[in-house]
Formats: sequence, structure tokens, C-alpha cells
Amino acid sequence: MTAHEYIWKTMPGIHWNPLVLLALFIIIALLIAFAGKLFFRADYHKGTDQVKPFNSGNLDEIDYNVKSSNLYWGFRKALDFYYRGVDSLHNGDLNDYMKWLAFTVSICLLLIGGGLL
Amino acid sequence: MIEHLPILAITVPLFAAFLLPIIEKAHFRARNAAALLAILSVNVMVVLLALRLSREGAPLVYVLGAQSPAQILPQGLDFPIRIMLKIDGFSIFMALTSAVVVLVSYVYSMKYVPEDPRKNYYTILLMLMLVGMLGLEFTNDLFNFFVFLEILSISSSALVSYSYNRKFSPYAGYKYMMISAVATSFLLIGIAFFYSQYGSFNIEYLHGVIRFTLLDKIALIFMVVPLAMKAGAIPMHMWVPDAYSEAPAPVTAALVSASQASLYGVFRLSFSLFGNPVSDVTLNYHTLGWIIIVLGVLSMFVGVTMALVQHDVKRLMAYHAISQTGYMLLGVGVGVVVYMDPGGAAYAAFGRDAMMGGIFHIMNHAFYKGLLFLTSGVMVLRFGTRDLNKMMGMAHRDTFTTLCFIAGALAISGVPPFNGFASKILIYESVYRFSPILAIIAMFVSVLTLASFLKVFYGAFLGPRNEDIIVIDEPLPATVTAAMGVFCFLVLAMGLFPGEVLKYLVEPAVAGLVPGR
Repeated sequence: MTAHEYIWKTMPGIHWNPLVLLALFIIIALLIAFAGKLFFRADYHKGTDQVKPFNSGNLDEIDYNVKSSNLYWGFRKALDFYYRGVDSLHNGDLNDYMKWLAFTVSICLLLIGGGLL
Repeated sequence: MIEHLPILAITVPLFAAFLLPIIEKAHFRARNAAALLAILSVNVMVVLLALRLSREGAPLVYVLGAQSPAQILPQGLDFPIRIMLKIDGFSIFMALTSAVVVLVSYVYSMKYVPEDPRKNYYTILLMLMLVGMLGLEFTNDLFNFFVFLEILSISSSALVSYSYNRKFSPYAGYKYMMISAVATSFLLIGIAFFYSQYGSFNIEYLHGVIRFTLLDKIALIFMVVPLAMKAGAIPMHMWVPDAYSEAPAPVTAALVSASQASLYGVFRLSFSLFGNPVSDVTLNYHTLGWIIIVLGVLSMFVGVTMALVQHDVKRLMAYHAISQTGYMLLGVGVGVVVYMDPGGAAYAAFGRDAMMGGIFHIMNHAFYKGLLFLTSGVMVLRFGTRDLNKMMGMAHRDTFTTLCFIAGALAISGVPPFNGFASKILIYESVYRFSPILAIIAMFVSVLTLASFLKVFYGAFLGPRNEDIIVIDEPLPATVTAAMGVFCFLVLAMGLFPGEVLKYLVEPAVAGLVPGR
């Protein structure tokens, strides 16, 4: 069976066929837009203060947003031990990069020596 | 004329590269037009070659210096001595990827890269990159493979340091140059091992006579491992974020394709030189496949976890390039593990599909990662920095760039209907039949990929419009928009019609790599 047949004959389900998924996406988007027209607030006016973001606190500061680097801090915190290790590997030192090449070549040569390759 | 297309596809950009400075004396627009014409003609030639290959159904062979391009063996000899180009499905698949990426990158850089006296060098070097990529994808000769890899490496390292007035660009170029020099030196030693034993550089000839001696296996390691380093595989990937982040955006897009040319080398040497399923004496493909799988899984995981915590947009994307290379290695690795299974049942059941997924991902990755790097170029243009913390509200002013970024981000995360989904689902489903754990890791990595691109979207595109942090407020040049539009179209079209791409490009590519299977 060719890959073409594999896709279009054995797996024509909604989970795979991108054209069906696209059609579904458009239908859902239209439904949301239609629902928006029916139920969302009608007193929205473009070009007024309504469109400005609401932030409490000191609004004079321009960087009141949560910064990109603040995102996923919990993920990083939880994996702190892992990041300490991998950060030290990505230190920008060309000598270390070469050592990793030598290390990988050595491992592969050991595999040959051990008859595994 | 059409029989000379294989060599013309390499020589046209080569001669164009050296003619461009002369043409520039007339006017810089003439140089730009000539360069565009040369790259376009290469694209046309590659398409014509693909059509010819599809029509003839057998690899195209072109012998240089012979009375006829098809004369493989010289009179009186029973082994080839001349330089030979051999174009099969995998070569043309890679050539098409490289040619399209360089074309789009060049169109983007026509206005993006400032018009100054150094622009001549930029154009020449981009042409030479194309020469290097096409040359090593077409050649059937190990020494020429080395030569074209050198051309590719030298031109790429010079382009990485093109923005020499930036603090780290020259060092990034130096790193890339050193990495490439060491890799090609190893490669040359491996080639010397072969020549000393068999007296030939011809890959097809060596494939037939190889005895899998200890020296042959050492040569394999000396050739494949440094190429894997140039492709950005873990644990030799550290140069990737350094080089990708410092290069101008269109160069980074082309560098993705250059790294994939090295990956082509890994696969080509592993299969076309060493792969010999009809011989009793061969490599242990089981171990080799598992090495590729382990490298792939590590590349996926370390790449994406490192990307998640970056706030330099280009470094973040560079780490994703490592992560996506992992998918390619995983798909092909699974195919390699079951390649030599008795009867070939496992290979027929899922190994071939896994390889197709991995190879399909090469082209998909080149296009969506190219698109993402081009959008990062617009971010850098607008905000004058790569730091996501210093960006906001770009969606208010650059709607088209925002849409392109969304398309690229969804594609790299494997969300339908974009092309990343098409190749990833093939990898997930076939790898699942080999090992569910590996497929789950691959899916988990896709979730983290989406998370990290949400971070970029949040940082650069959302938030209020703030004119104070905008460095360049002018509308984007038409060439920049057009280049992103082409990639965006390809990303969507290949996702909507993956069956056609698989049928006409990917299946012949796999057949070229593992003929008879």
C-alpha cells in the first residue's frame, strides 16, 4: 500500500483529513461569529478608551505587562536542576563544543570495538 | 540541452556568483535582477529534472568529461573514474527544498538587507550556498561531496558573520567556520580510509565492493558523526543557536536548508554507501537505528526545553530547529532499526511510513522554519532587538506578518491543517507501532513547541500598540511580504494536500534512499 492510499483510504477519519478539519474550523468560527453577533455586548465603540487595555496599579510605567520571560516560570522552577545542567552545557565555548564531538565519536568507536555496530 | 541539466543546475549559480560584481558596475538593480534570474532558473531546472526523473523512473546519471554524459565506464576499465552526478528521488527532493528556500530567502533579502557595497558579497555568498547544497545533493562522488560541503560551509560561515558590526556576529561566524572545518576534516579522513582500500571515490561503486572491515566502520563514524553535528543533532548542537541567532533573518532561513543538506549526507552515506540489504556481511542496522533514535529523542527533548525558556526570539527558534531535527532522526531511525528485519514485514508495516514521515518533515521543516525566521526578521526590524521582553503589540501594525507567524507556529506544533501536522502524524502513528513511549515523547514535545510559540506570540504580537519602542515604522517592502507569503502558501498547501506531496515527492525520495524495499 502506498502512502497515498494509506492516508486517503485507511485513515479518512476526521482526526487525519486536513480538508475536513479545515471545513470544521470554518464552521465553528462562523458559529462563534454568529453567536457573538447575538450575545456579545453591542455598546463597543472602536477608537474610544474602550479599546485600551485595563491595568490596575501604576499605568505610567510602559512595561506593566507580564514579560515573556515571566511565562512558564513555574515550569522552569520545577525543572531547576535540569536547567542548571543544560545551561552549563550551552556556555558558548567552542572548545566544549569540540569536546562533545570527540565524545560522540569515541562512543561510536567503542560500539564498533564492542562489536555492536 | 536537457541532458545537461544536472550540471547546469550547479554551474549556473556558480558562474552567476562571479558575474554579479561585474553586472553591479552597471547598476545594483541589474545585479539583483541577474541574481534572481539565476536562482529562478535553478528552480526551473530542478523542477524539469524532477519531471524527467518521474518520467524515466530510474536515477539520472551524468558523467563529467565523458564522450557522452551517460557513459559511466571508460573504455577498457570496469570501474568508474570520472566525476559522476546521480540524481534519484531523494536528491531531487532535497534539491527542490534547497532551491525553493534559497529563492524565497533571496527575494526577502532584496530589500531587507541594506543596499551597500557589501551587498555584492552577500549575493555572491548566497549563490555559493546554493551551489554547495545542490552539488552535495547531486554528486555520486565522495571527494566532490567533501568539496561541495566545503563550499557550503565557507559561504555559510561568511554569511553568519555578515552583520559584522554586531557584537557577537563575527564570533558566531568563526564558530560556524571552526565547526565546519573540523567536520569536513573528519569527513576527509573517512573518505581517505575508503580510497586507500578500494581506490575509488564513486559511491555506487563503493557500495558494491564494500567489505565492512573495521576500517570501513571507523570511516562511517568519521563521516556520519561530523555530518550529524553540522545537522545540529544532540549532543553536538550547541553551535546552532549561536550561529542562527546572529545571522540576518534570510540567511538563517537558508541555514536551515544548509543544515538539512548535512542531514542528507547522514542518510545518503548510511544507506547508499553502507546500506546493503542483500549482503550477508553488513552493518548492525539495529544498533545504528537505535543510535539515530536516541539522538533524535534527545534532540527533540533538549531542543524544546531549551527553547521554552529563551527570551531571544531567534535563539528560541534556533533551539526549535534542533528539536525538529529530532523528529526527522526519530522517523528515519525507526525505519533503520527494522530495515534488516527478516522478511521485511516490520519495515513494510510501519518502518517505511516512519521513514517517509521523517523525510517529509525535512521539507516541511525547511518551509515553516524558514517562514518563522523571516517573521523574526520583521520583529527585529520593527523593535531593533531580539529580546521578547522589549517587544509588544506587533499585531496592531503588521497584520500579515502576524498571520504568517501564526501559520508557522501552528505548523511547527503539528496543528492541522498545516504541513507540520501531515508529517508528524505519519511519524506518531508509525513510531507508535514500534514503541508507544517514543510516540508519546514526540507528541509531548509538540505540546511544548506550541507553548513556546505562544510565548513569542504573547511577547511580540499581543499587548497594546506602543510607538515609543518602534525603531522602523515604515511599511514592509513588497519583497519581504511576498517572501513570507510564498512560504505561508506552501505551509498551508502542503498541509491541505499531503497525499500529493507524498505521492510525487516523498515516496520517490524513500525509494531513492532504500531502492528495492
